[in-house]
Amino acid sequence: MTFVDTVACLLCRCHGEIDDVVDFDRLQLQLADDGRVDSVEVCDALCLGDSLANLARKMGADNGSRTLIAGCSALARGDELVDRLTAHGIDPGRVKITDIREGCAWIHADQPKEATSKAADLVRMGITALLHRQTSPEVEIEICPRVLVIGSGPAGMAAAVALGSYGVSVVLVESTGKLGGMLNYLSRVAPGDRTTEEIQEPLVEAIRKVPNIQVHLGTRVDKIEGSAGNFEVFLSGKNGETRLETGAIIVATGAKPVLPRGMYRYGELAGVISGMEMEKIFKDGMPAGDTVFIQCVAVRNQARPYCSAVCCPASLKNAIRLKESNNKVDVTILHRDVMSPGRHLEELYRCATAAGVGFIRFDPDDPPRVEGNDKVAGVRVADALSGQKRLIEAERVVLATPLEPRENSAIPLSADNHGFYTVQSFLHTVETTVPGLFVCGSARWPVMVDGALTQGRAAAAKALDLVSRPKYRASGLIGFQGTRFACAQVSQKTCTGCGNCVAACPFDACHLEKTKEGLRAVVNPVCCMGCGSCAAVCPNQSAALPEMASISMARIVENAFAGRPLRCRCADTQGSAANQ
Amino acid sequence: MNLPLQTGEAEDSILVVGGGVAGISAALDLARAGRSVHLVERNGELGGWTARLDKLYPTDHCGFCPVWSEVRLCQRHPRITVHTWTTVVELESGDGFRTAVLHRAPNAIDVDSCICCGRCAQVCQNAAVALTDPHVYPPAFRIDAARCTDCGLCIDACPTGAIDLHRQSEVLRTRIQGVVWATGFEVADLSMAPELGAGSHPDIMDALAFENWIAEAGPNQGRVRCHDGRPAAQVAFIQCAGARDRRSQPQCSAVCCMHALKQARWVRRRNGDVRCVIFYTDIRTEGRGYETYFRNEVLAEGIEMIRARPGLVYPLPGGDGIAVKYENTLVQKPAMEQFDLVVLNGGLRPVCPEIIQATGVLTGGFVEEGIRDVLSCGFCKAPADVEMAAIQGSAVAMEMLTEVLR
Amino acid sequence: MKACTTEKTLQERTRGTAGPKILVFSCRWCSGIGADDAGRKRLSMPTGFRCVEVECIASIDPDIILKAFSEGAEGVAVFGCHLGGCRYNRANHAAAKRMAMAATLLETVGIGAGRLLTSFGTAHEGYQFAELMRRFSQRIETLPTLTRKEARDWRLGG
Repeated sequence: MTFVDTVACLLCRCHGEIDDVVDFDRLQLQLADDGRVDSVEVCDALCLGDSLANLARKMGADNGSRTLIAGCSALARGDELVDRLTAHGIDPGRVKITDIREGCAWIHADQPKEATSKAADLVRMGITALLHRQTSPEVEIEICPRVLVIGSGPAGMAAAVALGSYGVSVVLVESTGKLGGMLNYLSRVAPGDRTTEEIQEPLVEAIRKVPNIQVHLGTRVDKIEGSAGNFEVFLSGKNGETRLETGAIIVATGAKPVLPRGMYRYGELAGVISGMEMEKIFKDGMPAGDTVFIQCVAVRNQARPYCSAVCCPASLKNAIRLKESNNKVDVTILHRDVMSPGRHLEELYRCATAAGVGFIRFDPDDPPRVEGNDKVAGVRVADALSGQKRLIEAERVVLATPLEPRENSAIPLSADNHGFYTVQSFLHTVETTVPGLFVCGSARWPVMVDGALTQGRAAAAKALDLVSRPKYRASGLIGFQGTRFACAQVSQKTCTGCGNCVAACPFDACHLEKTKEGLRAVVNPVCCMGCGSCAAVCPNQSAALPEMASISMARIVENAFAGRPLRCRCADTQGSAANQ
Repeated sequence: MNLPLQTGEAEDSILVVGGGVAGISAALDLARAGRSVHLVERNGELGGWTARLDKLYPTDHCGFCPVWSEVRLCQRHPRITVHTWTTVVELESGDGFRTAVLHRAPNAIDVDSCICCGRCAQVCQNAAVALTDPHVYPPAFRIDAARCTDCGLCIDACPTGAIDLHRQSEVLRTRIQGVVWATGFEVADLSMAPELGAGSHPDIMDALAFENWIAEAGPNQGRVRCHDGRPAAQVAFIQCAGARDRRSQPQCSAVCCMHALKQARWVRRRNGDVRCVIFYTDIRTEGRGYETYFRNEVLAEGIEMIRARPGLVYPLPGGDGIAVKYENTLVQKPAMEQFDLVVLNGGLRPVCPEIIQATGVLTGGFVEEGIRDVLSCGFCKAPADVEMAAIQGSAVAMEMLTEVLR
Repeated sequence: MKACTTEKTLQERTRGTAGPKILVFSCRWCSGIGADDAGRKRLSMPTGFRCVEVECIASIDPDIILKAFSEGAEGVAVFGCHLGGCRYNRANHAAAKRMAMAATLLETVGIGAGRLLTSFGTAHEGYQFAELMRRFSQRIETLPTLTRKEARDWRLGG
């Protein structure tokens, strides 16, 4: 943008909504006195009729000029006005919306004099902001047209297949020797009584068939460097070490089931097994014998204060199969709450009840006790609903344990207090705070197979957007508002390499680099979201947002209470005690 | 890499029905991939239920801000055409494509011309005009046709000519290549569970009405009051009201446990003396951060949890509050307590206009998938919370791109 | 120009005058939208405050707060999004800590921590924003005037 030292002002009457309170004549006089204003115009309603097109034409003709529009707020029409001007080819940096309606006329209708002073101050603040505004340099990044999917469980496979069949080049990396992840360990998939084959086989087949999906089995990710569009990934596996360039990465590394060591006499008594061991027994054949499932083992407690979501459905599924294979078998589920939300899982719960599975609720402060000498004899439980203590005879006790996060130092993602990868909040829940890095499946949060498949496809959709074009404007990666407000810049001349900004950046967009002059902070424009945290902590204003540097803010503050050209107010009051 | 439809206009658009978070997610991901999208919403604004909620769990943040960003992206995207006040009346089959017939019945006040001055509301004698709620973007005034007497005073008062009391509805036909149903949910009719007393007293409310009742921007500005104005001292939340119930909705609505926890917490936070009791069957905290929210933010606020499914809820005579009769299953004692407000939480059902039935993919009122070019996401497919709905929207967009459009 | 030597009483200052000068820094997301909502509801507020919209209150440092006071502000308010809801990855948490530090700083230099208000709001909290501005203004008015000769010359017109 060209440098200017004056701006044009456009005051919108808003059909009287503003100028019935704010005295536009007085305001115009004050602005006329202001050396930074080269013209003041008034219009009835900039949003309607020809006014905006006229403004666009005027600004189009005078290429460097900047205009301050004082009217309604950004949310009301202001943003829309800027959008429309942009559509006319005007650089939005040349326009500033100052709210003198929602922020002034409408809240001070009973005090028109003060409202006029305030409007004058607000306009002056806006002029200051507009004059000092610079534009963040735009960076266009070349995108490596490839997506790396780490993990080949249902989430990873779904992502790989979705992207691959769309035509994207995909590399699927799996640390074990086999595709499928958790699907290889489950006996059936709930809800419904689906076999793992009916889910796994079409995906594996598609992966095999689609030529642009490359699979690396027995391969781990050692390190990820770079940023969105240009990640550099170091892999190692049976083929040795390789380096891969990729535009986007989908993390689908899953989670691992907890072993119930030391709980409910696991490891001590034959017949006490974990939920995953039960799955294995089912895979090998149909188990027999009275069975008790104990839910919430090693979870929903101090150490793991979360619900792992998949364990109740797994127990329901297995309990139903036991009863359906032999109705005479006694199957009981001991639980604290039955976590079967929604439609299909609630139906699974109903099926279990209908099939004759018993449900007993226990209080976590009085948990069940497994009884037996060298093998399980039964479980003693205090039924929270009937108040009675019962001994349930059983040959097998299945401990439903949670999924817990896998630690993987190669993945540069932050985790929540439970250890699962955090996502950008709100509606971007497979996107992380690292642009270009997506997470799905149980690595994100424990989820059932169907949920993992869905999340894999969602991550694929997001990754597709990134890699589908050869170049991408870095400011467009931000997602949640289309483009960011500004990209932080660090003056290499004045930066002392203190590292405050590196620590303060919520997106790890800032890092220190060794230069001839010493350490200097450098901002990665791909990761910067424009929040300004770095600017706040920089000791000498080297880090700044060009659109709103601290010098701008200081000048804006200087203009905030300028009032009108004043004499001492006491001179206005006649006979006042102040006149001494 | 050879990707289809990277740039330029697609001849045949995708129809996304429903402007809540699921529909918005689907529309944006489809549009970013190069497809044209017609996003159809029966109300006057995008955002769905999420934008309306006073607070979301487990962050306690309002729904508006994040949804607003997405809504703006939809409105600005060159390949998305947003149709508000619009329903789908017909889906005509054709030769490898369909024609969608859309019916638009816009408000008498044209949102593009309304400057929110409110002069129309000032002159209206029938309280038929009001400013839209804070979650509506863009803000404008709206006329409630049910109360409007057609006197025309507002038309004279309006400085921009935004009002046309006889504004015509429009019919739009457009060729489409696929349909995404994202119609979400609505409050179910609880008349099949008469013991819950729904509709028998204004202080017995469904959870969404209660959300508005205690909202920061609502009629009580965050305070908890009865409808007669006196402050409420005890509030009962009855879970699974009209859900997990074969008479009305057999499924679990998935969102109500957390919803009640959040509401009870905020009632306590704003009004520390109010006694809050949640009558529950199971507390479903399977999502991220839900269990810690339950323990640290709810139980720590002193909210009482009683495991019971109340058998009778009825207004006490003499304006003495609402009686709730229940058996506390954990102590096996029947009890009756008096509450000032009762919140019935649970009865949500999928929105299923008849037109969906024409595509023949319904199961128990939910929109399943069956026909190749018709997909569904969000609550209308199966009970889902905000996160799940947004994820499903994106997933469905990807499915549409890979399976349907190849 | 006659020098104004008396302090006006609380009553004289509030009656028909602008109210204390308060600089408000608000993020343009939830808290800014909340303020906007208050405006659309036309809730009456004291006229002494001026809003500066920033992208995120994490960009507000104690320097600018001190600058505000040196430019005549009698109070500074910093409004951000609710602590669970910052779209910049919890940058508002850092801001909260920084504001706590700024409050200590203000106390140390004699301006007083009570002149800095830090609050977190949502887009629906228009009534709450208005109420907060009224109460903060009232609070500032009960505090003795910040002594600065030039400040008197800058007093907003009555």
